[in-house]
Amino acid sequence: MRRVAIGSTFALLLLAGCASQGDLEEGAVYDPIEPANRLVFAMNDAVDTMVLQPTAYVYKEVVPSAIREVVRNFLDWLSSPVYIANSALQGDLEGLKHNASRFIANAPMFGMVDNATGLGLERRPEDFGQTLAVWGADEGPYIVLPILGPSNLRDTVGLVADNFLDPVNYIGNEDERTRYQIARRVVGAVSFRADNFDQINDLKATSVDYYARVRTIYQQRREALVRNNTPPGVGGTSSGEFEEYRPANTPIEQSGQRAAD
Amino acid sequence: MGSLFRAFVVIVLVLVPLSQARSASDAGQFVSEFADKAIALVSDKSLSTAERREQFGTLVETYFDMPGIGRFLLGRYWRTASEKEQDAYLKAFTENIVYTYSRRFDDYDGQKLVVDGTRDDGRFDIVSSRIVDSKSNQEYRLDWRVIDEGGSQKIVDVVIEGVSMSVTQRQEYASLIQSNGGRVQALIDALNRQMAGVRASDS
Repeated sequence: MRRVAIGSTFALLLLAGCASQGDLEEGAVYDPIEPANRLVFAMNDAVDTMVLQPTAYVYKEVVPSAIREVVRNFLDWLSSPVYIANSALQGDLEGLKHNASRFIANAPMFGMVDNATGLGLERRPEDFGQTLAVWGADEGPYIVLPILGPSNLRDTVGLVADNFLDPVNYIGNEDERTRYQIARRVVGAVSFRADNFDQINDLKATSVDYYARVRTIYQQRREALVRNNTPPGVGGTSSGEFEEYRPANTPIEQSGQRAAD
Repeated sequence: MGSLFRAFVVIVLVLVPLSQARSASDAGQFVSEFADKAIALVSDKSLSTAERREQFGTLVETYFDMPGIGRFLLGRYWRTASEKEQDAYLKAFTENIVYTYSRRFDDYDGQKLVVDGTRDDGRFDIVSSRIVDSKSNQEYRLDWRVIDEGGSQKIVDVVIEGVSMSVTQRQEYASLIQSNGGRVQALIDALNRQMAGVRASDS
């Protein structure tokens, strides 16, 4: 099992080396296998509609919000070792201190009560996908994983690697570990869907191309996480695509003509 | 840390010569002003849902640069669209955005907007703020991109937890137009269809 995982990690890393991002419009996501991705996306969406959404709805309506908060906190606390390991791998001493302090501050109640946030230690998730980004890896092609959802080559590699960083995967027998990891992911998915119930439904209902919308949101969100929510390019600008922004009170160019820029 | 930073921002704003600090602090004020008005509107129980949405639409069009955003979202396809298509698109797009946002606002439940500071970003001011939801104990980061050209300020983008609304919609529209052979009319049809769908599920 472990050998297979290592093998696929290397295969993915090799692929990452070959994949070139080509000529992309600014802000566009590199998506060379879009037709296949759309198919998996549609299947995931069906699973969401038929299984996840109803389950999350019941969970949200039946379980009081205080208990749901406990679940959310506990799940986050379980990931602490992975956050700590990745902060260290990124050479981020401040983040390492932050996540280690969080882990200890919340340990007395096994992470179920989040005292750390009140102490100024907010959630600061780190995973191996982010670590690879800090090390300079491109995100590579966009991939929609069955059940697990939006990802890219870099983050898929990270997902596999994070398993090795999780100490739980070194306790007990393989069967127990698998059951634990599946249970944790299922509860995590239901909890996430319930916490963002209306937002996700709205995202779907108000889109003209739901697939494309989720694709860019995933990319932007990951980028923000890699930067730990700090503004890009300290001292510089983060305008990017907004360079070409022209407010409405400037003369509107006529159609068919090119602006003299 | 957060309060220290805020104290720092205050000191900078006071000490830096007024002429320089002016535009930045104005942008923060502009955003709070919009948030206050929107919250006042949604808390006003004397209004019917339809009235509230209509007034919200007016508010959004006052504070946001809707035609500019619309043009930006269409990107390079703006130039290839005919004048008729541009008009039809701007109409459909504005209706769509206003309706989407006002619908979101129907769920308002006492959340507060806290403005943390403003920074310069080229031609723009970026106002960073947080939505604080004391009921669910959650916070969301919200950045506002504000432009000040020709003497009037307008919001051009809202960034929620690192996700830009304008960039998201720009990518989505580009994808839809591309998969329809570059026809802008396909987007206009999709926007109108989508509006009809949301309206129907609403009533």
